[in-house]
Amino acid sequence: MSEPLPVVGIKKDRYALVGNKSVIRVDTMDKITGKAVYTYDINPSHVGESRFVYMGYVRSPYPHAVIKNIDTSRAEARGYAVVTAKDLPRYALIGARPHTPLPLDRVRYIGEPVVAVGALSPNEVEDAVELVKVEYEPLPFVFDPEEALKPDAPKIWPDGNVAGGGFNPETGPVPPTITIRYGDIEAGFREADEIVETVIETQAEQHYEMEPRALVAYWRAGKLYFRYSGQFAHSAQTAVANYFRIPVSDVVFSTSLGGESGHVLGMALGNKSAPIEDLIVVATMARKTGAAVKYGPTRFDNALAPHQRFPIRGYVKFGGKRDGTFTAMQARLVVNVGAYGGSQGSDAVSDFYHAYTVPNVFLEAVSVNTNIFGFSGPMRDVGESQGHFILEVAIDMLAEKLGVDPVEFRLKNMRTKDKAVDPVTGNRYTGFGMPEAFIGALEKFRWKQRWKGWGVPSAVNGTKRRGVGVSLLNAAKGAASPPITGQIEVTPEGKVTFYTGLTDHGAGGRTSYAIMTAEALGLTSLENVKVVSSDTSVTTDSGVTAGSRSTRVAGLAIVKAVEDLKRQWFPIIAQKLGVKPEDLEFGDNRVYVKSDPSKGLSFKEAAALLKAPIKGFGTFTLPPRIVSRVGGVKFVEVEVDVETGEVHILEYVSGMDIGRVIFWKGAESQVRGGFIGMGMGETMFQELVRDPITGGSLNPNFHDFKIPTIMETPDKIDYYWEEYHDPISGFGEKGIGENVLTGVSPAIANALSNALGGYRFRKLPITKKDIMDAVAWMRRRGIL
Amino acid sequence: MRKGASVSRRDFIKLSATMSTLVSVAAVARPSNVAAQPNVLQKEAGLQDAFGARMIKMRVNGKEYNAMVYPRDTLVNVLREQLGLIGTKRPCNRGECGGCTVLVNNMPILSCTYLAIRADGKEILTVEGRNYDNVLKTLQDAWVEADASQCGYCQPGQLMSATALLKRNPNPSVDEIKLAMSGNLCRCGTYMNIIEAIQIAAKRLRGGGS
Repeated sequence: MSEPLPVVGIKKDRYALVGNKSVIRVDTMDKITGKAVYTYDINPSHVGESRFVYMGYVRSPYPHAVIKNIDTSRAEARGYAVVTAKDLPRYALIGARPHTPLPLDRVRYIGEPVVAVGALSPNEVEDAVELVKVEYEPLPFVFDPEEALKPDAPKIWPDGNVAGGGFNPETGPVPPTITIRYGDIEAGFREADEIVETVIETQAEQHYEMEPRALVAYWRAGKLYFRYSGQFAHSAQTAVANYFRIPVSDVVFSTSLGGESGHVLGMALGNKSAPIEDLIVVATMARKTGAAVKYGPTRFDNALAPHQRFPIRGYVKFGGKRDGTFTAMQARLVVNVGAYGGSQGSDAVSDFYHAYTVPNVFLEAVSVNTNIFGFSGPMRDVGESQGHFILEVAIDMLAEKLGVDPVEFRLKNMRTKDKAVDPVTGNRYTGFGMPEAFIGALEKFRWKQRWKGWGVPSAVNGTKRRGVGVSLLNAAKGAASPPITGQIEVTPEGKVTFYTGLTDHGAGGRTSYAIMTAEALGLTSLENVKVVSSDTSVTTDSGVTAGSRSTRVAGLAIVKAVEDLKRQWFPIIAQKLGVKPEDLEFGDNRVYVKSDPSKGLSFKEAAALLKAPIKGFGTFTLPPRIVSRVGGVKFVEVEVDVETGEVHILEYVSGMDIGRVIFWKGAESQVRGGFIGMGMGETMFQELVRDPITGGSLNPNFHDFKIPTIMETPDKIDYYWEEYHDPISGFGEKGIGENVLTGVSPAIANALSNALGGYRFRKLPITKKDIMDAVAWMRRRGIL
Repeated sequence: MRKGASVSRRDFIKLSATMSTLVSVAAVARPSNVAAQPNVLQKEAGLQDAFGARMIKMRVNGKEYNAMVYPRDTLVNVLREQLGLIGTKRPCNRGECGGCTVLVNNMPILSCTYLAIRADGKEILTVEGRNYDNVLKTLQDAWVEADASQCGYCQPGQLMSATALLKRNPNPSVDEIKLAMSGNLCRCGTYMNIIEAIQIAAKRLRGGGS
């Protein structure tokens, strides 16, 4: 192994606030007392207006149709404002499948916006929607990606249904078919004692975040302002400016209303990210009406939002030896990216070959356009959950066929520290603590005492059977990808503000940023530290708030900004103390002399030496050939009632290669919430259901689209964090947000299999009906 | 599909937000930035006459409010848009998620399906009532301690359901907590922390701890 990477940030044995279990979330009280203003809550007075024009969409009732005619005359005669494709600049196409933000002549998914209407109240929006008449000629549609690949399938695009393009911010343009091949796959299968061949697949899902994706837009003095409930303020700003061909500086995106409430987002996790169609249409409506426009989607609108979790179907062929050696890994992933999606399988594919050091690998992913929804997108990860479900259920099946304990098989074949490199590019990991995280969680879960063998329940009590399951986690998370920027301002009163283009999904980013800012300045409380996030009028681009990268990126920006502050501020303090600037350091709410710590000034006294506020600018550029992966493991014990199909989670232990924990309470809450909310949700409840005959959406609401409730809360959730100092970081941190979800579904599925005689669940979600199918299978085999 | 599913509800509350907006629009002089839309304003003036408004009186968080409401106004819209009390959220607006829960005369109700006119003469408690209701205040403090809120958008509803629970049952078991809170959805999955927060607050309200 090569030399350890040099440490970029602040490495200490003891921190005041970093990892301190008593630090509480900075914005909870504002959020739970009505002080915080979410975009969905914005009233006209919040943005200096006396009223809004509310916007809504006339949506396509067909999954695929030609638009014959659009008649908006009745709506316009009643005084409603209308925006159609004709109001948009014709020159500008957007997206992986280049298209106009509103369709000109064809709709490609159910609920696709066709016409935007504006009225003075949300309910009048509904009236206006009904006054617009759109004539369609329905076309045959296709939901299944493999059906869509057949020669006689309905063509969604003139060049066919294989989705091209796509762009990975780290590696650049992505080809439609991803192929990874190394070693000798045929030799690997010849060497194998047993081969498993199977099909495993995941479902289409919607985020169902509590605050719908709201937008407010208005033009003032030639500038376009957005209040935006979204994750990508800075890239959205550029995209909108480019679309309208106006200077970027004339577009302002703000997720903040300023004041004490700061920036709040009613959860995002991907649904409040990429598509810019709404931004363009709302801005056009604002220009046309000369008013401030609010688009506050109804739950129905939000359920049909273009952006959905994409299904993957995996054809898997794995081979191994009876001594537990993994010899061959082959998989073809068919990725359903919806009508407008580009290539998407890269994250899922990379998880396969990163997780295990199997020598012979042949992986393919093909992305296919269908009419099932608008765009494939992230939902607390961009394909890793799907990839891990396919990978880790198949791994369990191989280990079972080989007669090897599932934990032993994984321990023997998983990526180790001495191979912490990308096997395809040779790029090295920033840091890697997965083996320790695995062992730590294994012991905490007491796997050895609980595992009774393949298909043997860990306990049986009447109709209730218990089973245990495991899943690895190895995902491209917490990337220190460019741009990384941020500024820290210190006023003569000693008030500190961190400015960042990043946001807070609700996962606790603002608290983490505040903790790291205070820590870097030697402050032991957050009292005088404020975070201004994601407001393009005052913050700079620090990339997307996605992929569990914001904690690490903020940390790097903060330590670099503090270095710049020292360059400006320490000479002034040094002069006062009669020492050299390089002799000074921050700590314990002071600026002190390193050689004589009793000598120094309090932070406030040092600030008072400033004649005006100073601002430190931080930027960081990642050295080449470095990748960030987060590893871990998930253990689950389930209890299944074979009479009712009821599934209860008894215990969940998450092991994670987490680097340094910054905001302890928040990280702990995410481990719990990621498992319960979306983890159990996508394993057992969530699925977008489409009528196969009409193509209609059958569950666009909270009643029919099931998500976990408090009744499903597990008895116990625990974690083992492998804490260490990741060298490319502000304080050793890596990131957590998405890793709490990835790997949950296979761990539960494998535990259910263990409880139910080895029946394999190969499709998500696993409903009560599926459980009872397993029970029937067991009865037929006489094992129940 | 959409029409079939929602037509009765639509008729029911058809003009509610229109009217609440109208009341506030009527109260201000014509703003300069909407001069470009004379048609919309004229239309609005006509509608305003078409439906009879009624003045209702409510006590919200101990304060008297008079509000001009229309028969189809829901309570959540009046709270949020007329009174500016945006602490009460409206995540689904169809009585499915519990995010709009407020207390009316100490009973938890879904304010998105509760007509504002029914609130006439009643006592309303929302999350803004921190300094008016000690059970709510104690729960809010416990919420912060137990990190029971992440994105926070469902939490006002969670808090009001919890407040109603502790008002009728000062010492609930975990199963009783789950049952009482089962109508409040949370997408961040904060349920475990919510149970802890309610236990902390219940103990404190019973005098068992600071």
